[in-house]
Amino acid sequence: MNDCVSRRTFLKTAVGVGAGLYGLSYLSSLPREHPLKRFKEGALKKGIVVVHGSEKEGMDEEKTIKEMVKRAITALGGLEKLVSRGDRVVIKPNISWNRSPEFAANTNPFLVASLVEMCLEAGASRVRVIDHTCSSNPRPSYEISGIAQAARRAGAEVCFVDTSRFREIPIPGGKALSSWAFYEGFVLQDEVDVLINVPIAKHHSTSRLTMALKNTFGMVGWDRGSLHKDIHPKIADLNRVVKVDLTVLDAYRVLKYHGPTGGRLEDVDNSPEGARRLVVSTDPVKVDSYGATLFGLRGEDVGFIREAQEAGLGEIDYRLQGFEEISI
Amino acid sequence: MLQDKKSPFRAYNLRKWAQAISLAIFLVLLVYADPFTSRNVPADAFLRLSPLSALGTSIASRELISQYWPAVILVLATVVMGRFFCGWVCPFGTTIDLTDKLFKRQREKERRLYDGRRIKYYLLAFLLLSLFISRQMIGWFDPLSLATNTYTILVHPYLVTLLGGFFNFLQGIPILGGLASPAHGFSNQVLFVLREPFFHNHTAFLIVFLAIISAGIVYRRYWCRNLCPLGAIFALGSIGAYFQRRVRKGCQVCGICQKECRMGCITEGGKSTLAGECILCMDCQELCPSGAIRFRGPWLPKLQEVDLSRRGLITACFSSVAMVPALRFNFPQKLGKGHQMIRPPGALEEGEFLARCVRCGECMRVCKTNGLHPTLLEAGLEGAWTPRLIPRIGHCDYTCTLCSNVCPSEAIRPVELPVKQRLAIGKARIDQSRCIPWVGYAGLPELARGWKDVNCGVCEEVCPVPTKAIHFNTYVDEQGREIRRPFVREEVCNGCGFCEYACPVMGRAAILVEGVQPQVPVESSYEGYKIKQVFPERVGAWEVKVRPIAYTGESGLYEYIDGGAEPYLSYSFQQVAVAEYRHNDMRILVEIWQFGSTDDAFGVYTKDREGSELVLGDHASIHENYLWIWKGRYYIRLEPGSPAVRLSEVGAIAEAIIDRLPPGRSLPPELLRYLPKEGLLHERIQFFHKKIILDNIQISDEFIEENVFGLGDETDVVVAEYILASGEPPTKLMVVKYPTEEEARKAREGYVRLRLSLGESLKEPFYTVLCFKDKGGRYNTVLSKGRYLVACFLASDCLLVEDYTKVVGDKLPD
Repeated sequence: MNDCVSRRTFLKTAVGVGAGLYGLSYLSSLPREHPLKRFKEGALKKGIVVVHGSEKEGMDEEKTIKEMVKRAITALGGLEKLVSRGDRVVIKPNISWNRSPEFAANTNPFLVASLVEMCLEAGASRVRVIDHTCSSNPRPSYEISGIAQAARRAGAEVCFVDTSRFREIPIPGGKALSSWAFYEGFVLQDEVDVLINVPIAKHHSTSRLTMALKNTFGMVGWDRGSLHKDIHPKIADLNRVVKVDLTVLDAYRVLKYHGPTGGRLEDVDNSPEGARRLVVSTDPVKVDSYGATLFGLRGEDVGFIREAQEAGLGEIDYRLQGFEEISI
Repeated sequence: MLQDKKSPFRAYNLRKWAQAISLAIFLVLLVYADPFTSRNVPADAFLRLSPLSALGTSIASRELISQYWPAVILVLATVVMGRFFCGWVCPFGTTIDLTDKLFKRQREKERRLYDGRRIKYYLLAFLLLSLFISRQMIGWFDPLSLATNTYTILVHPYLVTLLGGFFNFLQGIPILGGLASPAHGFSNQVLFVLREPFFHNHTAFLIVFLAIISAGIVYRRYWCRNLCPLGAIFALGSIGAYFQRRVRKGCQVCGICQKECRMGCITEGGKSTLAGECILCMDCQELCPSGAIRFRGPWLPKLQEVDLSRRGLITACFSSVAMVPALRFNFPQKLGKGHQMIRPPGALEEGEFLARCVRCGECMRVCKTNGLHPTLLEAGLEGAWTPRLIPRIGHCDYTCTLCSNVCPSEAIRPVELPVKQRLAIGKARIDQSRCIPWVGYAGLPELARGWKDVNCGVCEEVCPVPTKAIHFNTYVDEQGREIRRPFVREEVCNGCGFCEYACPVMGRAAILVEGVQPQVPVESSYEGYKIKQVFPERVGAWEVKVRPIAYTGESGLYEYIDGGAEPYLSYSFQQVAVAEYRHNDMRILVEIWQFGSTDDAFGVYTKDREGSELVLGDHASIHENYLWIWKGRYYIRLEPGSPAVRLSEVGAIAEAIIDRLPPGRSLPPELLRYLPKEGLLHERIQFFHKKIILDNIQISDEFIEENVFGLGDETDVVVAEYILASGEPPTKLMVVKYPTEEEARKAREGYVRLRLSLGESLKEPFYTVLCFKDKGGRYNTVLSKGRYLVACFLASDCLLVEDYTKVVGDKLPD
């Protein structure tokens, strides 16, 4: 075999390959429009629904929660008013930590699964469950929280965050941030039609509480630690970009102390007086404002809820546009 | 039988298949080590095959490491079957075979490199001697360790990174991008990656690996024939083996096999073989034009001797002595204060760890957060290539024990998850000159004018210790603005490094974890500790002013509460410690009681408490800001000195104390499970053993005279109150557990006798429930079942109380 290369061949190949690669990179660098997701036009009621429920004879936790979320969303008008046939739904639970459900550090897996089922029943073409966890390896959190298994069983596509898909997006009117990296899967129109935020109500050492608004920390990239300085306006700023269509707050178990990680059962409130409920609304500020009452606070007491109200993201007085309580 | 050249099943082909399958198994075990280990599949199977590591670590640690039993089997197999491992199984050998193919054309040129097969024997001698003279260095030379760390630290990350880069490039290109994404997902699934793995110091491994394979430019399998000390062991073991290369009469001495032999072990134009050097690759049999080569017995050929020189062996001995300073001269050793590297959880004490670690890198492979990395010279030369946790890259996952389960030599001993969670591998320290709130609030007076919120607290947030090992030193100014500066509670910190990983400070973190050797359980601070030390010096503005005093045992308690000690002594009282917290002129008195069992601590708590329930400890009650708390074997009572003391202040002290008690959750005594829930007044349940407590529960004066229920140290009693009908005074329900059935029956008979002697009427029995109507017109029932006795007192409805008694009776075990 003669493997000598003539000068002519060398030059030809070099130019050919170079031009090809350059052409490909040029193609890939062409600016393309990636419109941001807008609020889904839905006919859900503007108010807030709180559903109370406890396990009773013949009703285990799974059934209870399923029933609770069904009743709550029906009271708001029904999920089919929000999710239309063929919609791509993204559900964002809180799967931050490697803790099992009883410690109330992550969203209840049955709640996530029930929502997945309901979205599929309403005609969604694809339901994705995804969160940007706190550990560098998301797998243990997804599994220990029980959410991966429960959501998969319910028919969802359970995904991990792909770190190459964070996109810097300007924050118009941002008070503390002018732009930040958001995960494409939550904010781009060609990725998601309906975004459902499913946080859990927890004590949080830096922001006092973590519920719906704070859950957007799981939708963003870059160094999230640096968001903790001057956290309250930053939470509000991130929520200016994220268009959440429905918020379902898990307060079935409430982590009252040593949040957001918890890890002790004595820090978890399981009482019907302080927990055992779900809060549903299209307005995350209302949800958080109600959620604050579970910790003996008012919405106005918590910096980021106040900031969100000032940013015009929602209404801090949760009784204003209809407040309904259901017990099952 | 298998000599037919056309048979696809001839030994030559079998060898190739064996190599391919063996390498495939090795790679699959390595790539999926994480899920395999979780399912108890031995991902370290290959490493445990090495007699060299087995010998080395067992001698160095002066202990027979039973995990290495496969190595013993392999040696026995070698004695019979020859040096088949090198040619058929060894993944490193197969790797070299593959890379040797790349250099085929280079080898055609005449080049020379020292080709001395005796080096490997000298190296083996050197390594074995070093075990006694200096240190265990086998890990650097064991080919199975080399294969594992090469694939872990170089091949896998490089491949993943290359593929990732390639797919990311495609991503941006229209049309192709749509295909790239699923292909990327698929390749990541196959390679089992979520993030591109990265290993610190990987270039050092690259240099070593390149050096080894580049010798293939001159000779095939240069490492195997000349350097491999494991090969040396197999060579020595295979000298008398049944399967050997044998040349029959038909040999034409054409020299083809001598030229082609990958081990260079054929001499005399093909007629003879160097002892122990043949790895049974069967190439010569395949190539031989006259079919004169066989690999089975029966006759023993004349073998050439292993050509070791005395001088070489002496050199090995001396160089092993010479290595002593090179290995031991290092900074940590010189300092005598240890080093601050964090070893994986379960790692043995440093000296023992170095003796056992075979530098295979399996622990780094399975580390879920990619936090374990090989050292270069950070732990001195002797510690080169051992694992260390670099928390800034990846912390030690609170729910993971994988590294301890894959260690072939148990340098990291297997630890159970609950043990690991309380095993301090390091301690976090805050660097106040870097920490955002510490720096930000350093110049407070000026800051008060131009206020900025520079509170951070990410480290506290991520701390996985349930009660948090990082707390805040909180200061609130007149305008209610909070300054929270973090500090570490070293006694509960397990050194996982999540805080260092998450710290948002650029570059070096403001909270650094320093390794501790030996690793100590966090809970050791609880063992045999004095409960006096449970009291925190200061909680918020409250300070311990009257030093804690402990009263131990019966005499101690009489000293503390003269006249009222007996009820407490009826439980397994051990000690009580008392302290007083003060703030301005307000006072809070705190007692911590320790009992022999959680049940007894619960009992005393139920005896004392008042008011309504509260979520704190295992159980708590509150009444006018007095707190009663049950927590495991402890019962805590907080008594505010004046009504001005707020609940939040009492609560904060209580929480601080609970945090310092042993962790874990206790369940109330078993007897409570039999109580029906309906109508139960939860806050009125009492648990005890002896009559003295029963005497203080108002039931009937008749019970005071004699111990009618036969209560004593060994009986467990629960008394609960029920509202059976609204507006009625509560009915009391008692369940007693006796040590024997006999005692339960006797107690029932005694009780019935007492009731009858009082002239009360016995109603018609309802199943086994007896019901008496007393002089006050109230109904009392009794029932015994097995070792249990159930009695209800002071009910106003006969049928209802009979029914309740029966419900409890049905719930009781037989």
